[in-house]
Parts: sequence; structure tokens; C-alpha cells
Amino acid sequence: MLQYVIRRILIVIPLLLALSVLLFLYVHAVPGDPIAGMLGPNGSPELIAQIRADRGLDRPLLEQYADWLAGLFRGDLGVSLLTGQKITPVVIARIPATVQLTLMSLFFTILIGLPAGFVAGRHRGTWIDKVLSPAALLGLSMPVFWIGTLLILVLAVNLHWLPTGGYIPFTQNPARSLQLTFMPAFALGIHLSPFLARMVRATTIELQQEQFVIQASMKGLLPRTITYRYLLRNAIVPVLVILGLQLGTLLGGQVIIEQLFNWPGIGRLLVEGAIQRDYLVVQSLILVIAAVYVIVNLGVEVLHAWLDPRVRL
Amino acid sequence: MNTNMLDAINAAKPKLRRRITTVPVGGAKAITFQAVVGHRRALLGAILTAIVVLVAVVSIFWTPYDPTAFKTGAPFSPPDLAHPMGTDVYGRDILSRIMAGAQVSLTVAASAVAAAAIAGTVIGLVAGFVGGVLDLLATRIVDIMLAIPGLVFALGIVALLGPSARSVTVALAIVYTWQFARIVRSVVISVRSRSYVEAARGLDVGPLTIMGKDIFPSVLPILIVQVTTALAWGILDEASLGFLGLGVQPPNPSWGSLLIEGRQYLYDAPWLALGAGSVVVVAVLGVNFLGDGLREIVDPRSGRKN
Repeated sequence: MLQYVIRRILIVIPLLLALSVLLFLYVHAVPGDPIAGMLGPNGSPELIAQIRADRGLDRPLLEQYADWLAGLFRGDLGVSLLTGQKITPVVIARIPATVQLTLMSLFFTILIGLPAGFVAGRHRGTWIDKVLSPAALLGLSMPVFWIGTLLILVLAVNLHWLPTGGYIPFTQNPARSLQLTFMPAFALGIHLSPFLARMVRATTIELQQEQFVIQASMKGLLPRTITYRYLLRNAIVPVLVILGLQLGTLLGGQVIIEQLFNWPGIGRLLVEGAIQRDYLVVQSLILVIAAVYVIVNLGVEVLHAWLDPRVRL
Repeated sequence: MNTNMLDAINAAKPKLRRRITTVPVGGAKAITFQAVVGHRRALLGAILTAIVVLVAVVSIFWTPYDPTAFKTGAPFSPPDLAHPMGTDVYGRDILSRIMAGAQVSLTVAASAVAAAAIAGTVIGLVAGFVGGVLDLLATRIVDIMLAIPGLVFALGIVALLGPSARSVTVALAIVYTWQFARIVRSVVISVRSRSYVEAARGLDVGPLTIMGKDIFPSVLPILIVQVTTALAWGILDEASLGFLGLGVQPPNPSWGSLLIEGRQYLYDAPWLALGAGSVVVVAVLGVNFLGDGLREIVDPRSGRKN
């Protein structure tokens, strides 16, 4: 097991380093001058030169990269191109909102996707499967902002049950905070669950053809026992892996949902950075998001290997 | 948004020890006209897709009103006979704008996917066929590129190039390329040691000819399925980037730019967002049906399970 973990980590470290090089080069790939591009017509040559010197962009590339990388190890993401302020504190301030939304979204994804996929797979070919499978395809075809817009129109505009958006920290008012998380998280849950459901369905169908399940039913075990003890338990392992991989989709979807619901998270910060053409902020946030995605999947792989020893081979 | 879906399937498979593989056992089945017509979901998808494409083509020659003309009716008039999908804040006809938007959105999605398919196929073919260090390098690069969530990646590139239809096309092409490369490579690996490829090598056939004549035909059906899937992402991602204000800029209509206008007036004129959104859903649903059907035609084994 330890050997497996070390092997995985040895793959992830160069991957993260390569990502840092790629994103470092990103800023230098701006056609023309990034600062002139950001300032637009207001940028006088003196101002541009001053900002460039101030942000350290006039130094040799290798030196800039070494500095940036050293900063990353200390948790320092560098400074904003636009304001010159440190990026790390701004990002940290946004983390609670984003993490809260991510966790709630995963909760809804599992709540919808796991039972739907399992039931469809267990009763394959019956009416319930024939309803759920096209529903999943419809869900896959709906843009996440569209799901969010529909929720706003129904729950906020028509029924006045929930406000259209906004965020209150959980520590400040837990009940109100969860209430505000409901719509954005539910929209993401609807967005992600069809894919999970499809995978769970396929797994469940496959499990039912496995020897140990056939034998269990030949032994005369109750269908209920087979469902819970044999099928559900084994169908849950893949759920973990799929959720890890879906985190990429979730993080992308969150960028959009945070915008729609005025949710002050990392995604909104990224969009603000992109619109203001603050390339250093965009660079740092893409790196943070990709690193989280890679590291979470490393964790998922390790957990999966622990649950299912065959994976380690 | 959906950019990582297929990635997820592919990556999850070996781990889950699935028997459904991207590369069908015994080779991919050919996609024929009869097969599509005979497959209910593929046919439905093909029809829906054809309708959307037809609307886009018609909009080049005719729309009910000029899509950018102001005051074709009262501002914010809800859907009625004169304006089946209502009007916006300037009294522009939404149906005309959605029709014209179809043109822009489909062009962006199709060009991005075409570019990505070509680039990805070349990378995948060469990496898989040549093997060795080149393959290792290509695989690592693909891994790095796929580590960045698709929409986030695209957003970064659009920020770099400035928001416009062309930037979105370039960004999506760059983001989708790696997926194609990975899938094509996996097919090439699975067929490169087949006897007919070995035989061609033995006969001193040039590598380009082997890739083109012996390997590519095995890649093609899977490539077509992937192109269809990617088209669905393309439409969704164009709309998403537009929604974030990073796509095609108003007043030019694209589905993305219509959605951002709709979002501003969600209270006064919900039909703006609803109309454009519904059209996106129908278009993507059609393409997804088609892609799903084609996948089952190419690999009938997957059909039994999905």
C-alpha cells in the first residue's frame, strides 16, 4: 500500500511542476504586452514601464519563474497585475464560500445520482429505467446556468421561497447560510448527477452478472439482502472515483454558478480576473484549481486502492 | 463544463476494471446510413441536429426581422404572434436573434471541434504509432493539459486573447485537442500490433501510408463518435463563456451573448433567458442523442449496458 502511495505521488509531483511551468509561460504568451493589454488606451509608456518594474516582470524569465515557484512553496501566489496586492489573502478569503458550495453540491449529486442510477440498473428495462435514462440524457444536455436560471425563476421569482442569490458565512448564521447555498448547490447537483447515475447504473448492471451475486441469488437470499449487502456496497466504490473525476466539471460549473448567484467564491474571482485581464490573478487561480483537482484525485486513488486492493497491482 | 465527462469515463474505466472500453473489442463497427436510420435514438438525434443546422443556414438568407434592428416591436413584449419569442429591451425580435445566433454558435463549436479533431488525431496517431520517447512525451503533455478543468482552461485562453468569437473558437480548439489525442492514441495502440499492420510493415510500406491506410480506418468510427460528443460540449461551452461575458460580445447575437442579455433582465423579461436557453438545450440534446446512438452503433456491447 505504501509503495502504491509513493508511486502515485511520484507521478503527481512532476505533473504539478509542469503545470506551474505552463501557467508561468501563460502570462508571457499574451499577444503584445500584458500590461498594455490590461490598461488598454489609458496605458502611457511610463506607466507600463513602472508597473512592469514594480511587478518584477522586467527580470530574466528564469529568475522570475524561480521566484514564483519559491513563493508557491511558501503559499505565496505573487501579486495582482492590476493592483499589485498579494493574491494569497484574497484567495483565502474566498475559500470558505467555495468549499461550502462544493460540499453541498457533492451532497446533492450523490443524493440524486446514486439512487437514480442504482434503481435504474437494478430494474433494468422496466418503466422506471425507461424514464430515468432519457432523463439523465436531458440532464446532461442542460447547461448549468440554465438549470440555475430555472430554479431562480421558479423558487425565487414566482414562489418567493428563496432569495435570488447572495452569501452569508456559515459561522455567522448557519441556517441562513445553508438556505442561500441551496439553489446554487442544487443546480450543480442536477448538473452533475446524470453522469454519476449513468455510471452507477452500468456498474450495477455489471455487478448483477458477477458470479458472487448470481450465487447469492441461487442460495435463495432475499432480493433485499442482495440489493443492500451485495450490490449497493460494491456500487459505492466506483462512485468515489467518479466523483473525484467529476470534480473538474464541478469546479468549471462552479465558475458559472457563482456568477449567476453572486456567490463570492474562487470562481467569481477567476471571472473577475479574466474580465479585468489581470493575467497574474488568472494564472494563480488556474494553478490553484488544477492543483486541487490533481491532489483530490490523488487522494481518491489512494482511498480507492485501500478499499479495493486489486487496484494496487 | 462537460469537457471532462468523456475523460472521466476513460480514466475511470481501467480503474473500475470495466469491460466497456473506448476501443471496442473486435474493432469498431462501421457507421452506415442504415445503422443510423435503424437506431431510434441516433435517428432522433440526427433529425434534431439537422433542424438546428437548417435554422442556422436559413438565418443566413432570411430571419423574420433584422436580428440587430431596434424597435421591431414594443420593448419587452412577451411572446405573441408577431414575435413568437418576444422582444428584448430595444424591441429587437428574439426569434430572429436566436436564429442568427445559431449561425455564430454552431460555427464556433464546429470550427473548434474540427480543429481539435485534426490536431488531436495527428498527435494521437503519431504518438501511438511511433511510440517510445515521443509517445511518453505526448502522453505526459496530454495528462498536463487534461489536469486543468476544461472551462477554466478555456476561460484563461479567452482572457489572453480578448473576448470574441474567434478567441472562443481558438480556446475551445486548444482545450478539446488533448481529449482527441488521448482517444486516438488508445485506438492506435490497440491496433498497431495487429497482423495486417505487421504485414504492411514487413512489406516495407512507408509509415505515413500505414497510418493513413491501415490504422486510420480503425480510428475513424471512434473519432466520429468523439466529434459528436465534442460538438455538444462546444455548444455548451460557447454558451457558458458567453454567459460569463467572455464570449461573443453583444450586440452581435450568439446563444452565449443572448444568454447574458437574458440574465440582466431575468425579472422584466424572463423569456429572453428562457428562449435562448431552451434552444441551447434542444441543440445539445439532439447532438447528445446522436452521439449516444453512434456510440452504440460503433460498439454494440456498450448498448446492452447503457
